Amino acid sequence: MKCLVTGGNVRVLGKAAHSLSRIGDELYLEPLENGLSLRTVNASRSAFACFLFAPLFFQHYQAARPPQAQPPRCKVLMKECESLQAIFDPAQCPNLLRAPARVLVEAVAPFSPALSEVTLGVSPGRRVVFRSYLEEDTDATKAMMTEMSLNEEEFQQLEAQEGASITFCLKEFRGLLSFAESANLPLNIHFDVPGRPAIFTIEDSLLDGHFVLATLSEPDLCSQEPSRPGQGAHSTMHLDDFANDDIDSYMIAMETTVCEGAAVAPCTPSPLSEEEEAEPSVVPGTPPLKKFRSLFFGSVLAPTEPPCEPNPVLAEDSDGEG
Amino acid sequence: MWCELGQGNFFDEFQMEGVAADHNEIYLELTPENLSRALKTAQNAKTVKIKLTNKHCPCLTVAVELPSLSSSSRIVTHDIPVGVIPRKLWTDFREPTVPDFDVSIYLPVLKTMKSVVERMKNISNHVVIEANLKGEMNLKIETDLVCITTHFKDLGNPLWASEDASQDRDSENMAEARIDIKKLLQFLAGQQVNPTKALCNIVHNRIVHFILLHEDVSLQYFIPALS
Repeated sequence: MKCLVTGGNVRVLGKAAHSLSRIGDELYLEPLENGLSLRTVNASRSAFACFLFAPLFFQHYQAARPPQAQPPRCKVLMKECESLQAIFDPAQCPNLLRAPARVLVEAVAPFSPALSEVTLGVSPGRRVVFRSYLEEDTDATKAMMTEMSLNEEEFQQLEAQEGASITFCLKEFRGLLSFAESANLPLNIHFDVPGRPAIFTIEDSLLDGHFVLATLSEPDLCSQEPSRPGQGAHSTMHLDDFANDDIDSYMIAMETTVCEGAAVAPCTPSPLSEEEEAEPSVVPGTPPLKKFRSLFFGSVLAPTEPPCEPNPVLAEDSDGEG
Repeated sequence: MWCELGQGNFFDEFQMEGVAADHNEIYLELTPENLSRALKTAQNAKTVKIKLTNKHCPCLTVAVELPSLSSSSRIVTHDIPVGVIPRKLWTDFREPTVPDFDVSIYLPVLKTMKSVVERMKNISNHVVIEANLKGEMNLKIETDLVCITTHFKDLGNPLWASEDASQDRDSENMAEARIDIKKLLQFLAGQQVNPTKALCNIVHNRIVHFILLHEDVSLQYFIPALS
């Protein structure tokens, strides 16, 4: 393989590699006929990312040196290895969101850099809502909750039903966002039901990138706060949202002072979390990291293999590579 | 630290009902970092609403309306969990009284004071702050190897209503207190805007009391003296 990158594209390549490094530790390089692919996967196999740089991106592009028929595939350590291929198809996702990278960067700016997961959804009223996700072991009475809601007009495309939502890793998403922002490209978010992976894509004439992130298998936004009395989805945000608040809500808070320091009633456990406990545990070999279903990975040594049924079995690499 | 903000100067609308008519107050406990982060998102806001709500627990809900490219604004909502403090504990949180000080003096320009103290903190953990009624203030640090003193002159001494005790005081006599330099720096570093008035009261070897007055905000900061 011999590729020559010059000028501003060196920086683009660097940013792509940096963006991948936010996901995994190893970079899989594979020169293909339609371009050079850079791929990575995280340790728990719950996030996959790839970039494809078209031959025109390079000043000189040579996938394989004849008479070598098979182009080399390697990881950064320059060893022979299997090809990394996640099996996913954006076209199978019924929901799509597209926005300029700038809008999405501003949308996630209010969230703490330490926040692990975020829930993205479409509220009744068709606003797009990002909301911080509280992990189960977090004390809800201590943690601050943040929500950002945007008008659908800010999105170049919004094909999703009201109530559709997914929860995914914000840190990994930010990796792609920073690349998309520097490249000034719009970002597509293809998603399905919670539990099915979400596919984030960017493209232009010279490159395309796919980030595939596992999502929490949990129903919609509403059920994150089942103990809230009589409210619909929290994300029914109007500018006058406070008018919808239970008018006595702040009086309830006050009552604790009158009752000589009586403790506030503890949050009733969500029926949802019980359901989560009952879910089958993730395939052994995967770190017990929350409830993310591991993406199914096949080892694509024989490209003609039919794609596995993507639900939710982890297919080990046939090389047994860890 | 004690800070007071006049609500009329900050809020277009203000509605509050305390526990009872004769105790028209609410005491809340919260993590300052949460409120600080919530308000940071409001830097370019069109409007900000703060309300006490009851979500999964009592919360201060900060709703920020941000400009957007579309016909309706972006809305960021932060729910900050708060602890409502029962009335029987309110006396713990009364505004501390101004101590019976030995010297009261106006502070030098805070920026200058901060840059001096910043350099001093690399050399010593403690600083002695001393001042007299002639408008002179010194900041002193001392180690085995070196003593450094920074002198400020012509600062002026504020007049307080009940001056009788200090009238008898020799105006050259310094009142001093040795304090933790990090705490002094924390106080100085937190000041973003130049106050209208900045002064300091020293109770010899006991406490240093700083008072900053802005147009509509008052800030008091107490640093105890070390032995």
